[in-house]
Amino acid sequence: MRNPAKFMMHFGFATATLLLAGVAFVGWIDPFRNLGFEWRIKFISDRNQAYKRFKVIEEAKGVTDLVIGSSTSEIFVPRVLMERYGVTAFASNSGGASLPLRLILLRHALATQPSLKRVIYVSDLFEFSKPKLETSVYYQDEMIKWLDKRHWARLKPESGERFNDFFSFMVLDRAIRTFKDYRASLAGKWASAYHTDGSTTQSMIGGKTGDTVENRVKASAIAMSSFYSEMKELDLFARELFGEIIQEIEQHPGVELRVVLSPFHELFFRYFESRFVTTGVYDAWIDFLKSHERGPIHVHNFSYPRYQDYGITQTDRFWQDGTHTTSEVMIKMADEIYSQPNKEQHP
Amino acid sequence: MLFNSFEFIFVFLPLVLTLYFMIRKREARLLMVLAASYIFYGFWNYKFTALLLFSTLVDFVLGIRIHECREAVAKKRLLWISIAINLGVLGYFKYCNFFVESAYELAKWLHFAPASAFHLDVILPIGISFYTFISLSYTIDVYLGRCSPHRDFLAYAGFVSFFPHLVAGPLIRHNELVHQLEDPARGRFNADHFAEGMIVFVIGLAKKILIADRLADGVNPALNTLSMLSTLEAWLCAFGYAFQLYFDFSGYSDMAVGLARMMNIRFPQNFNSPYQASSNTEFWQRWHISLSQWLRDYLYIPLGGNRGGSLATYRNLFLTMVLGGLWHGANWVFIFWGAYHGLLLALERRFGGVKNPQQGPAPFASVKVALTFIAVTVGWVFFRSPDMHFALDWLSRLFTLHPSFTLHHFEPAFRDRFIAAFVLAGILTWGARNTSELNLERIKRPGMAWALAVMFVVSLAFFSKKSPFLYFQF
Repeated sequence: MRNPAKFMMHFGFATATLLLAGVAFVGWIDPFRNLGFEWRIKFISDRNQAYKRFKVIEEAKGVTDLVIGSSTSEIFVPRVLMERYGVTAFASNSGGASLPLRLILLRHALATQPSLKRVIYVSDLFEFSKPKLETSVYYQDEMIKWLDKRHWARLKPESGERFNDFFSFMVLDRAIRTFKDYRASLAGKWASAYHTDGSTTQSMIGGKTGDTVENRVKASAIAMSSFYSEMKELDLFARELFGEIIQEIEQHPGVELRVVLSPFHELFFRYFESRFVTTGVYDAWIDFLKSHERGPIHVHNFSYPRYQDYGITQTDRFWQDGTHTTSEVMIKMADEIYSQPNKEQHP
Repeated sequence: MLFNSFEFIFVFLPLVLTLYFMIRKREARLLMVLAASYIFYGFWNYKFTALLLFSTLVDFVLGIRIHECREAVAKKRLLWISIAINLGVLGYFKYCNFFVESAYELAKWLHFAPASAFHLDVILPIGISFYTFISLSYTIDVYLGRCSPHRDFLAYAGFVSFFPHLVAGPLIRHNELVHQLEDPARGRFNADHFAEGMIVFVIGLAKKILIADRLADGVNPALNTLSMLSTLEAWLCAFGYAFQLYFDFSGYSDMAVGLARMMNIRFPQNFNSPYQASSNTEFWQRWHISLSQWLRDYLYIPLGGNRGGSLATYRNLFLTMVLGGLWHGANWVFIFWGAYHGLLLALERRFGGVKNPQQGPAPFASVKVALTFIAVTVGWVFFRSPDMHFALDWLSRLFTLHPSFTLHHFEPAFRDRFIAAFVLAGILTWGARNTSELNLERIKRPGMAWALAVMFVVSLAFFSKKSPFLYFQF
């Protein structure tokens, strides 16, 4: 007869050991820089996208044009903007960036880049993502301090979720990958994929290849629907935070804000309309943005169906999927932005 | 509260087990178990504990009245009151909107429908299908003289609401559980039983988290793009769901069995390698055994069973399965699924010859097992689908050729895990013993303790996303 008490002691000891080892490893690597232990490694992996974008701009010099947004703004490649319009551009975008994150990145950029003249803010549905999804920001001391304290409670994750920051498959997986990058960096075999202009060789867009554009659009609509299943009316928090973006611009004379309403493929837009009745919400958002158009604040509406006025159709050459366009669309949007002078300078 | 949650594993369970073994007095321990079970249930929505209490009280009182009643007519009347109340509660919360909407669709088709359908804002209480059936089986058994009525409300209420089986089974009978709850010896800590219970619980947790949920990560997003799936992808989704449902539900049952075992209580086996069945009849002797037996004892046999000749037998089989399908959900897809299985059972009875598990292996056993698995999987297409339209679309993807050997409609982030879980599920389904066949004595070794700890900790790592059990919706 086996010894069950000994078995249970071994089980308990093994469980405790494995849990503590996992937590210690994650605490030492701190892949999202949101655990705050003094003994964590100093290395910042490229895999921590939001924090990386936040830090890279501190190294940049002479930035005049800043691009802020989610993956939909990735097509505004700084090098292309530099070549075409002669500006010193910087990409401060992050996959799925919520409004709190965008505001943090903007304030940080305004503080570190005294030469900033133009902010290209790409507006898309990710502004309505739930603040609590931005879990990597709430516990990130360096970043959260750029947001007013009265907003912090809105970003606070559910109490049980904090354990996942210390021990979960996702954080362990990220810690292991970060550790591999760290080891490679110690051996001189790792280099960041981020350029000094904020762009990166790693795309945020993981499109499904080998499919028709119609299928890719449908797939992206279905993939994103879980974010917006609760979007029934315009989020007041989104309005409040965007109001603070406007205030920041107005408090920095000489800086203009170009709000670009990002295009969505017609099929994608119709999918959301039929499932979530979003037309009213999105129209309300467009009206809200346009209501701020004055002085240094400009709104460029490329949303459906307005993009058709610029010769953008539903065909393959303009779309990677339902929300991500091609460089051909970017050129049309950028030409529109840079052809219109700042009203403040030219009344 | 879910078994696979931090609050259950690290707060609720340690507290309940500690109190269970510390409290010496039988009544106090029963009261603790009852209170813990109601807290467990009320964690989801405390308001529905009143419904659970109502259902429990009604059948407790009626059980005594049925037993004490001397007149056959009055006895039967009391039984019908119990049936009406239990099925009425179930009907209202689970089926009301389904019947209203179906009647509305029929009226629309016949061109005399009102402008819009009437819709009740009703929340489906979790586990209602289980505890009403458990409670109903008690009053029927008392009526038939199969058991004496229980006069101790604490013990009876503890039997109905015992948290390991409360929300998703197994469907325990009164005479299987009550005497165990009342037995003072069960309140003494037994290291062997506790260790066995722990092993079975961890295995069940791993089946649910590491296999079923990883399969779901692949199947669910792919099915969201059903109209684009290739034939291969459609079949992978079908087989993937078949494995997912089995490992999810049998995993939950293992956890329920393990929890009870920690408290020195034995639950009956609920799954016996159902996908190793070589006929549909054998499948239903191995899948959700407690439900199959409930349907047999309280539906099939009262309808006449196989006593009325061949046609009556086929009719009874078919009706039992249709109602069994309806029990699973208020949707035509479940009724169709039940009817499909009823038809298969009737056809097997007529043409196939029913395999007796006690006999030796049938000829071409592997082929029969494969065909049975495919037939069951086709049935699961209806079970998984939100409506008939989706089910028919899925079937058309399965049985028409859409060639492609890539899996690009499976989410890239989850694809590798899905494939690994799929392969592991196949190996465990046909190449390994099921949990009840394991020699737990051989597992109670230090080396195996570490292996089990790894399984447990890896399962914990996947707790970041709350994943309820599939059968919770029933």
